[in-house]
Amino acid sequence: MFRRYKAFMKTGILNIFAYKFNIFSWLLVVASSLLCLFFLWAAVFNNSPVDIINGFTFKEIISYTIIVNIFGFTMGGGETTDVITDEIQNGQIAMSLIKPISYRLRFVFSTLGGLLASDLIVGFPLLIVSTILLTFNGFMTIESPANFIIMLIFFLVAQVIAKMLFDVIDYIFGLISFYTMASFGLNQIKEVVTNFLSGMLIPIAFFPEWMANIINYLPFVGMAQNPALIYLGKMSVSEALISIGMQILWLIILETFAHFFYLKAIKIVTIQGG
Amino acid sequence: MKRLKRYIKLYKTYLERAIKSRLEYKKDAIIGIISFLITNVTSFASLMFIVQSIPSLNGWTMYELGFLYGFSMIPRAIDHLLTDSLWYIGYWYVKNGLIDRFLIRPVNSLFQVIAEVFQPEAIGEAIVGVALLVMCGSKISIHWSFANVVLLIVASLFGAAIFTAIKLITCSIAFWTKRSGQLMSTAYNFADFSKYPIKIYHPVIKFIMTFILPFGLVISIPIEVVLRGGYNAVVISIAIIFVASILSLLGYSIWNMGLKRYESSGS
Repeated sequence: MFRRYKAFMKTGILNIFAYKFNIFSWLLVVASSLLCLFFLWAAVFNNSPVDIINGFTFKEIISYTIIVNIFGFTMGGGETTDVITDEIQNGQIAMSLIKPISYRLRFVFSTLGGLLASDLIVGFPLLIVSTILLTFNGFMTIESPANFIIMLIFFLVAQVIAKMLFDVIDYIFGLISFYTMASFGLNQIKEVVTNFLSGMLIPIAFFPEWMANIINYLPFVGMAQNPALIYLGKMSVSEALISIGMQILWLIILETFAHFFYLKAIKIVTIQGG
Repeated sequence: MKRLKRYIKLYKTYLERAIKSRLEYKKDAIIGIISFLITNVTSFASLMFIVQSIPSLNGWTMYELGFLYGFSMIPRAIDHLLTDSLWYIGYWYVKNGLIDRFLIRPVNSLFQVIAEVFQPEAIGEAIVGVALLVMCGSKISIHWSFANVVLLIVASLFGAAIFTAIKLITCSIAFWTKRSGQLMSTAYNFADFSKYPIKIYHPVIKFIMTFILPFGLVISIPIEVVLRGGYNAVVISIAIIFVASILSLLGYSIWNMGLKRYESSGS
């Protein structure tokens, strides 16, 4: 089965390498926003009567912000929604549907290829560099190498599932364009809401309690915050396992929903042009 | 004078057309507005969540921070509404040789570029900005002197001009480098720094915010004057007008210099 989809995985990899990412511009923008956040957090902790706010020290929150941004980069750039919308708009969808491959799996593989490529060219190098810098400057503490390696393995697993969560949500939004023929604005809303609820902006622990209590059970925390906390060693082994379990549970729920949505959407699909 | 009249009339026509072309996809425009609204609400909510755990941020209460944050959206929204087309210049018009059509018409090219696009998304930003100003403004004591009111109006309008000028300068660099979108984004995103009190930054950043990319001059400082006094409102108003004029002139000359170098793409 894998052989059939290998081509899509390769496309995903090549997309990242070829043109999708403008790494340099991303780095500049992120560096500037990190700098701004650094001063904001510094001022916040300077004004705080206590050293630990919502479970984070200043050094931990800075490490968190850096790691979650790198993580966010490897999660970004999913093309699934764009490709589906594009195929709907130019009628190519007809060709895709008559091919003897699963419309869903095709995207899964190209997305995983994309993750592999962005990890190799940006994610891992940046993680290694920032981990060394953060540890060296006392921002991040690695208690024992054994523990770090276990957490690293958990992190890699969590990262793959997180990417799948991103992809299934992209897929669902892509399917919406079966009805609306366009998805640009919706796409942006999806991105903003995901960023906010996944802890990409600030950890969920900073949210008001009632909100945090809800958000902690939604799929979004598994899409940025929890993998970052696993990497930073802020989770115990059992917490990490629960977090990954939650990710898998949500993935199953969303994939099931997407599947039924697809079966419904496919009935009303309009083939444009031809 | 006659020329000015002609341009005003032209601008009206352009604007009408731009609005019409956006409203052709009404749903898209409305969703765009909502998406900008949500973007700003979530990022402001994040700030509130951060500062609720401390008594005040270098002496700024939550409402004062909200007032500053709200005001920071106003010049940005005006600029966003009217001059968004400059992004296209930096990202792909120059690179793809799409400037030709602006050069063959007997109207100022920069005018055409700017008048061509109208961005209703900016209304999302404006709504959040005004809402924050009203909500937070009612909870804090503001010195509503005449000079302060003038200062806020000057800062909004000329602040927008400074946003535009910085975009114009950075997008014109594309005439030399073919693409300058990244540089534009970097300079423009620097405006985010002015959403928080200027006091929290390192002196180097304060210097950049005041003199090089003067987003702090048009946002942080006026709000500080209105809330805390300190500087003379009239002096700051004049400084803002002066800086906005200089930057706009600079942008316009770089644009013109760039146009002379412009070559269309082959096809």
